[in-house]
Amino acid sequence: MIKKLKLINFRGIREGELELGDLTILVGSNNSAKTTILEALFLAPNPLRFVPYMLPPSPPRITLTAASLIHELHKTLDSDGYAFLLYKYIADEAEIQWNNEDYLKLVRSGDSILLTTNKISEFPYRPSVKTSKGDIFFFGYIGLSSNNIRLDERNREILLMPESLLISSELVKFAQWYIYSNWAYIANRGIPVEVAEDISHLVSEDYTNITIEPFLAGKLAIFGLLKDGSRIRLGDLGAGTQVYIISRILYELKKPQILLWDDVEAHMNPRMLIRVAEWFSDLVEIGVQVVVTTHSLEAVRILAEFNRNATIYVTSLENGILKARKLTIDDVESLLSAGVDIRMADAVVL
Amino acid sequence: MRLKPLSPQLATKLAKKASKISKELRYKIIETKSVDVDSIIVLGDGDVDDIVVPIVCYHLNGTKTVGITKPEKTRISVLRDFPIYVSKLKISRIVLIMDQEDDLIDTIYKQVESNLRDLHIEFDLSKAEDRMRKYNCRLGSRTFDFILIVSGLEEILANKHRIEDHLVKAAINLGKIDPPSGKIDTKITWKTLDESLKSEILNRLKESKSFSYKIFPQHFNGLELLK
Repeated sequence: MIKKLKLINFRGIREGELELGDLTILVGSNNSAKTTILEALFLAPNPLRFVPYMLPPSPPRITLTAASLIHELHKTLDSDGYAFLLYKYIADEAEIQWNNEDYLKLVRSGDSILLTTNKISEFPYRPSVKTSKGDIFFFGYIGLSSNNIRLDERNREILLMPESLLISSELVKFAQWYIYSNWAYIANRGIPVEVAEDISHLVSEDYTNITIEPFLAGKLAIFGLLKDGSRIRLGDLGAGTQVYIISRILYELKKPQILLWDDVEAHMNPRMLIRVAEWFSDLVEIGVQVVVTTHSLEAVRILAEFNRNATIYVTSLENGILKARKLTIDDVESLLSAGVDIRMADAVVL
Repeated sequence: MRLKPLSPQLATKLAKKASKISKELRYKIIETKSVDVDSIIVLGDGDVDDIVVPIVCYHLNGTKTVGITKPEKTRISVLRDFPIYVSKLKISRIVLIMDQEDDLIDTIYKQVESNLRDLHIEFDLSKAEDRMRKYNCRLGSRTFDFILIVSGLEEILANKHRIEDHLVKAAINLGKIDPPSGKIDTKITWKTLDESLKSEILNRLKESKSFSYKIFPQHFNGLELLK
């Protein structure tokens, strides 16, 4: 379990740390580093491992690495490269540290960012470069201004910390092709039937299965199969339903020990959110750590109702310094009753 | 002085009402960024306070930003939230604005002081003016100033004294309505005024500091202490 996370010069955070619980809920204004915290936890196990997301264009489809997925999310116009992982694009190195002992470092070197760690000896292939700070051994590198990624395949599966999975409504499109590419594995494990049954409790239609079949002109689509035999394409379902289906399938597929969900309330009706809260509660019970961000107090209430020990953080970012204050749901409620909404009063609460 | 609303509901109300008077008032007074504050204004009741306070703050020039909140509780029971403001938010100055209603002013002061004692808040009265009092308070290891502003005007013959007394006085002074011959309910008098007339009165209050001061003396004197 990741109990403590410390970030130095990582994306918009010059410095900051916070303690994580079984279920951690991050609340804060826009640009208060909530997503950055999730991205750090997503990259930390190994930025160059494959994650269950693929680029949408036609073949050859490319399975994304954790780093390239984050790259895709941040890409603006045709700008490329991983400089955005370094504070203000100019820091010499960024560090993601956890539990006061382990770290992943991103070190700028020429037009590359070298990936190194205190656990470098666990990587079978670890070249080194001479720098002004001495020799740096690294397990791979990413481009500073290009989306180049280089590593020896033997290093791909090494994990520095427990596997994490990032979920958000923005990622649904990237997940669809991965699910398609791994369909036999997913279908034969009975995941689609389980998810379809689960969804049937939340929406008015009764689903019996999730399938991949031809749509029109022989082109494939993911469908929800209804009890009466008719089918609805995944993309034609409500956005909240889509993200829930995808998250359940990806979780069952990867069984990560850390589940990260950005903007958990996005597109979610309270009924759906209650189901998500129940699911998180089940995950926590089996030892999965869950970290979510939200702008919704309703979401905080629902999630905390199912997980009374939830750790709620109000975060803010001031000149690159991450500030975070831990609150209980009772604190949140008493402040609300006093006319203070933690989302509006973040700087005051901190 | 700028106002930082501490809840989205109040932020919406303040922005909407201030915009109705002028964009200048809305942008100059309502702070929407994430900023820290050491002082807060607590609205103990009333729907009209959320336009009166921005107007008074508009005239109290300066760059200081103070929080503004409207708790679920009303009037004197709002004092029960003081430990939250002081302990959890580290607020060092609290202004409570509440209507007199049909209580005697002295009764309100006695109730306030009795409530402070019940909450284990030690206090000294450091300033007493007409319908405005300032207390130096201590709660545990924390000290804070508490400024009480009681809305209402003796000169207006009303069944209950409220913030609307001030607005009705403004309407009379501007010749928009005749002085009442007997006791009135100022809330109803203000509420039933034509919307364009209300806007005109509020505009005049925003345009003239001296007129505004004449209408809201205790609010100016109390909020001035936050500067």
